[in-house]
Amino acid sequence: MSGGLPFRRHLRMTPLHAEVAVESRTNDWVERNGFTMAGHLDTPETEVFARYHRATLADISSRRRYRIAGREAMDCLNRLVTSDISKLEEGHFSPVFFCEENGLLVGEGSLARIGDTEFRLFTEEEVLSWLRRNSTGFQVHAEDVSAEGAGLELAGPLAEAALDEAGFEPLRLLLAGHAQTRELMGMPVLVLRHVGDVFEFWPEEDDAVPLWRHLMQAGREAGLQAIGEKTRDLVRIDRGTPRMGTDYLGALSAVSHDHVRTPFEMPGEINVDFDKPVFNGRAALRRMAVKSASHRIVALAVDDARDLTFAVVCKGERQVGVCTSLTFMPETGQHLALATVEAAACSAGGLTVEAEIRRELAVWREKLPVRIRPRPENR
Amino acid sequence: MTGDRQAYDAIVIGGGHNGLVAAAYLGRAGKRVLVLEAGGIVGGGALAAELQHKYTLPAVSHLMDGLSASVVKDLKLARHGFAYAASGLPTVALDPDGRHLVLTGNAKDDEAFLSARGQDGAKWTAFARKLENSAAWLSPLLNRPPLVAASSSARGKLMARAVLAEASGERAREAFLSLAAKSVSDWVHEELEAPLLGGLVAFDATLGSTDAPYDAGTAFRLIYRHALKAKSGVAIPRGGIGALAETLVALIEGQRGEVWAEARASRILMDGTTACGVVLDNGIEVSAPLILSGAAPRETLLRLVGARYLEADLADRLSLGKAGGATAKINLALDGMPGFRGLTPEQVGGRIVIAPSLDEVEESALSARAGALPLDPVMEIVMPTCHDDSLAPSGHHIMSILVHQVPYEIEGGWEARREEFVQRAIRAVCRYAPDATDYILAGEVLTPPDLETKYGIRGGDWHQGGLNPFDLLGLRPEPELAGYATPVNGLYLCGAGCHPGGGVTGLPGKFAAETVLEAEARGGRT
Repeated sequence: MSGGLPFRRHLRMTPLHAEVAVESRTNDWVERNGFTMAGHLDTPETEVFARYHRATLADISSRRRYRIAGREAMDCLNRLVTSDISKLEEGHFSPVFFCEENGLLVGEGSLARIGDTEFRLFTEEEVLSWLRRNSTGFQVHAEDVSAEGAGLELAGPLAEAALDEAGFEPLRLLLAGHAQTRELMGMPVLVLRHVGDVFEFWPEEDDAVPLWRHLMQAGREAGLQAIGEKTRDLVRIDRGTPRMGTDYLGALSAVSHDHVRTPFEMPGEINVDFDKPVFNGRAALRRMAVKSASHRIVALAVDDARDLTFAVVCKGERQVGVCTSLTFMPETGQHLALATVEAAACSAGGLTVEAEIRRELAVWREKLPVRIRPRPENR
Repeated sequence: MTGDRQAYDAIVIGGGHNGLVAAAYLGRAGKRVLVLEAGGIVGGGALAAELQHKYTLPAVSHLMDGLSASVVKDLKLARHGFAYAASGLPTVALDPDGRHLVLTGNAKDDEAFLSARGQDGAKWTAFARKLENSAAWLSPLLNRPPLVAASSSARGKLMARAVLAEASGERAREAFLSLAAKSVSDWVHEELEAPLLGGLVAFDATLGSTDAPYDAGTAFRLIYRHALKAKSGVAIPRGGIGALAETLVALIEGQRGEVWAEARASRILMDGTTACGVVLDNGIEVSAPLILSGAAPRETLLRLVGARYLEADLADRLSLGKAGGATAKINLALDGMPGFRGLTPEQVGGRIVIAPSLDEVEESALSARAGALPLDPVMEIVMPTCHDDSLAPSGHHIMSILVHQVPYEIEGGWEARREEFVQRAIRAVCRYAPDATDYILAGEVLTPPDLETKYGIRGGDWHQGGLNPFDLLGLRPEPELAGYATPVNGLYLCGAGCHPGGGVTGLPGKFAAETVLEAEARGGRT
């Protein structure tokens, strides 16, 4: 027992921990899904500059991964998620949302079809029990394979150049949305390419360290920088992508339904396909679809470079929302945030935040104007 | 039964009385209906069986106390030959010392009878009145389809509370709510002293379930059962309990419908997400745009349809439900009338209950839960031949015994314990009718697993689910299924798993058929 928690927590190291630790100049560590992960490895400015203008490499082994396989895996998953994945081809992946019966989000993630009857689901939060409950009545087996292998993320405008240096030129031809197992240095590695030049590598555990070392070494020419979770978070907030467990809670783990969201309240395209006759939450979502959502998760910016924090979003004197993710963008001198805001308050301007501003040891409060950012695609 | 696919307007799965009632209502509306019964005889929990071709036995349930008058009237059952051989039967609570109690249901007579024996006369009258008042309040809710919540869980429960709140007068509601969460033992201990009355009330409050008298909600169960009682009181149909099913079959066949026995449904055929027919386990396929299932909701949706056609939460909730049957049946053919000490022949023809005290009912419930046989089983005995001599050769009798609190799973297995069980039950009868064994010609024993394999009653639970407040009304069997329609287009539930639940009432079947016809009249399916 530690930290007063009523249960024992194990902080685990990823297979890449020693390699990442070598890169750390800050000794800044955070916890993700029970793993010790780097917060920052270098100064925020260095990491962010590398991420937006050069190339970066990060350990992403803390993401949850599930293997779903079996003759009826497709049928089972298609009932699980809100979008129609029956057309998801082998070698592709797609973002997915899944809901419980009241249309509230239980989870989200990326679903990759890596074989005719085999899938990988990547999520932020633990969803195995939900997958198991969804397997009843289908010839399918779902298992947590998070402990197997490791994950690396290569990102940035020079990511392709880094691939070239590493001798992985063929990966240039991989299109966004593809998920394919390739042989790299004689090792089988599942490679996913996201939009915005982000490559995910999922090697087997023993192959993770050689792959990391090889990429770090080869990428030096392209200015490859190892980064931690905090810079990855900054990119996520900049893109306006909410994270389950941070910006909203999963329906099965939340105590209050106020903190749970529906697919209609998420930013971006609504990922619900009512042409699909059976999927979890369909009936409830259909009832919801005719009404407008009560809340929205939006990306906010405060154009003020001072050292400050904020949480409460107001319109006039009234609180209309709460910031759930906050970061400082050194490139533009802005504070960026994700917030859950009453839908009615989102339309017109006039939003403010109650900021706490800090200069050395002095702290004071100020109301600062905040604007809703349009969702930047592929930044 | 030839040809691969035959078309009907509707198919009813399960030839229990509710399925037959639903079929008859649909037939009355001009539909050509096919009823599929897995067993050899229709009737479900209310069927007649034969022993040695001479004795017509009430195979499972043996009394009728709740057949809805509206069903009898709507379907003109009397005109089709349905009648009671006897009604308003007295209840006889047997006392080990011979001071038996006989209750007729008439308040004045009962009070006089009990007072004369120094057994709670006035107290019983007050107790019975309270029960009557609470039941009168609940009864209207049971005699119409439930209000249905749009979705499950929390909202459904609020809905049930709303139902309770809106229903009727403040005082009745208060009385009802104060009783609903109680155990029947609390109620009995507050108001009654005579052990025999406590035993009888506890027996009635828990019959058919694994509940024990000290369990919360059993007071409600007593009210519920009372509210479903018909005006005719406890009755036996002419021709035996199976006469209802036989009348309904004749009625359905007269409406161009068909009833197939030995036709076990193995799967409901789906066209996309719409039910369109049934495949039997012998491979025959029959099709119809409407399917009604009298089978338990879990059987229907998880086995016949398949979890894949349901949202995972619903499938999950259905699969969690545990069947709670705890009743066994012993049918005996006798070549004479055993002498019950201290009972008149008329009283022997009544409903005889062996439950000497509330604590004995509690004890047998606890041993049943532990998978053991009760030392002194509690039971209900009916001798239908006292009222209808067509059921057995002249001078012979049938003794039908419902043994309460018998475990579905028994320590050591039923194969090894069956004989011991029968011996204990017969011994209990002989305590009151010592010569009963002399007359036994033949008999059959149906343990809870036997009821499942022989008559398709899952888990031996003929109520198809609990009868606690939160298993009823708009929550039965699940909030999204309470309106008889299912998430599968064209598929409806019509069995005791739906409102208003178990017992031979015919109401689930009637409400299901009416729901189907109303949906059609609106020009669409739900």
